[in-house]
Amino acid sequence: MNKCTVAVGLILSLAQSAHAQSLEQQREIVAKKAITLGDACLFFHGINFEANQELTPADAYDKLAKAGIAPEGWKDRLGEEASLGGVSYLICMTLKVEGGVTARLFGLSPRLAYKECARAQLVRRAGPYARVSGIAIQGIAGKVQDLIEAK
Amino acid sequence: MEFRKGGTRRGGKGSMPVMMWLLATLTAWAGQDETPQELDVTVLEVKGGVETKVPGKDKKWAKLEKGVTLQKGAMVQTGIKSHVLLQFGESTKVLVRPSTFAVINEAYLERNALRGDVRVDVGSVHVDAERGKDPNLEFKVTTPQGTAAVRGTRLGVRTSPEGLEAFSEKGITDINTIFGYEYKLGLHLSRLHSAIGSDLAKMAKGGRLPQLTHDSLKSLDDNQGEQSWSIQAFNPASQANEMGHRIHHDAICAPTASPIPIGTLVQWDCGLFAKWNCVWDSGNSLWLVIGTSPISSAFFDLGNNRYEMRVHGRVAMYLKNITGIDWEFQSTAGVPFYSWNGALQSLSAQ
Repeated sequence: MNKCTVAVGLILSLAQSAHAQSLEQQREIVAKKAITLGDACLFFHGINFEANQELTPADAYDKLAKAGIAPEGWKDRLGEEASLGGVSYLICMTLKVEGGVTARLFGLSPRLAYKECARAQLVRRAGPYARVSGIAIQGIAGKVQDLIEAK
Repeated sequence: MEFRKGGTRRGGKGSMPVMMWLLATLTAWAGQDETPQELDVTVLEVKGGVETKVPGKDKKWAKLEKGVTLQKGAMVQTGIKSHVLLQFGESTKVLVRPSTFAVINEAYLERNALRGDVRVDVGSVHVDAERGKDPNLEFKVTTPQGTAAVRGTRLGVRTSPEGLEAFSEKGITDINTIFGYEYKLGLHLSRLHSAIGSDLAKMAKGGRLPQLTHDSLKSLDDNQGEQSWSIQAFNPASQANEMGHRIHHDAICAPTASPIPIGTLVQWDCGLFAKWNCVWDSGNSLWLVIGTSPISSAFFDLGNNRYEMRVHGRVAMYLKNITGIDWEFQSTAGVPFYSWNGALQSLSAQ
């Protein structure tokens, strides 16, 4: 058994409780092989607003959408698998990354956001439609917080 | 009998100082505590949501508070915008940064020197180890991608499924990745970022990197990420404008050249503004070096022989012998302009 598998197994074993406390919520998300858009919203709500609070994905999305961080149209899709493009969009809006000329002319799309984030090594280069694991969103959240702190 | 008696008497007189010396040595040895002494890790500071759990002992995660002590095996989770500062012995502080899962693998004193090991499954930690307080301390940060051994330094390590990132703020840190690569941060590099991808796994399957197991290769394949290394030269004077030497192995590792056979000429045009440097090091055998940029410097460490390479323009490398360390640089026209082999201590122009 390699170290990566051990790490995944360990984190999976951590996420046993189903109580809706925030760090438990994060453990549950980290244990997932593919997170949902709602899970991503929970993480980015914590980064942008109050952290480690009990919250529903819908509440988190509403607040993110109101602040212009989450795109419109996710409300009914919060249970769908999140893509690297979608998560990259949240990263760019959180870090206020404007993107290149195309993004400035036509607006930032998940695909353009993915390009920006992949270039900055914030997300892996697996394409904008690749799914995002729980460990990956945890790692991304850490990197984004580092960048916010560095600013 | 006479001989024996006399011999015994003479021996008895002569052996007295030896016996006393032996007794004194044994007494001193007994007084020195060589058995490892488990250390409690003290929580110095907590910000935001931080929880802990000891597997096999605690059923639930508990909130971590300042002043609490943690034992070996304790897991620590920091939430978003949260951190915890841990004190190991008198010399070492570890800051577990936001969104991190860490485990205290080891914390004990051996001959009054700290032995510490923190495993980071995902997230980042900063280590501040003061060698002045504990000259013989040994502290390491273990991640799924490799280990950073702190040798009295300030070190940061971040790990995620994308790879291992480490930087040294002060002093030297040994980095050993799961591929068997060894780096000395602070000596020739100030920052290392490695992203593990499937290309390297494919190459490793060719048997170039015997340290890899089938399981680790499988997990590398599962990663599906891009394989890239960025290496920043350690040069305080020019750090501000010499950052970001970036390599993309896929530029040189076409699927057909995986693994690159001995004798293959590897060359490519990197473009005017590219700054790529690449070191693949398997133990003491530097088996592939590619560097290019209009004017770029790279610091490569080959076993105990450290040397500096300065690259002008486009270069390529002809890999003649992997284990014998015998290789040469060629221009893109195929004209050798640098050659080097194991017998020489420095590069020489032809």
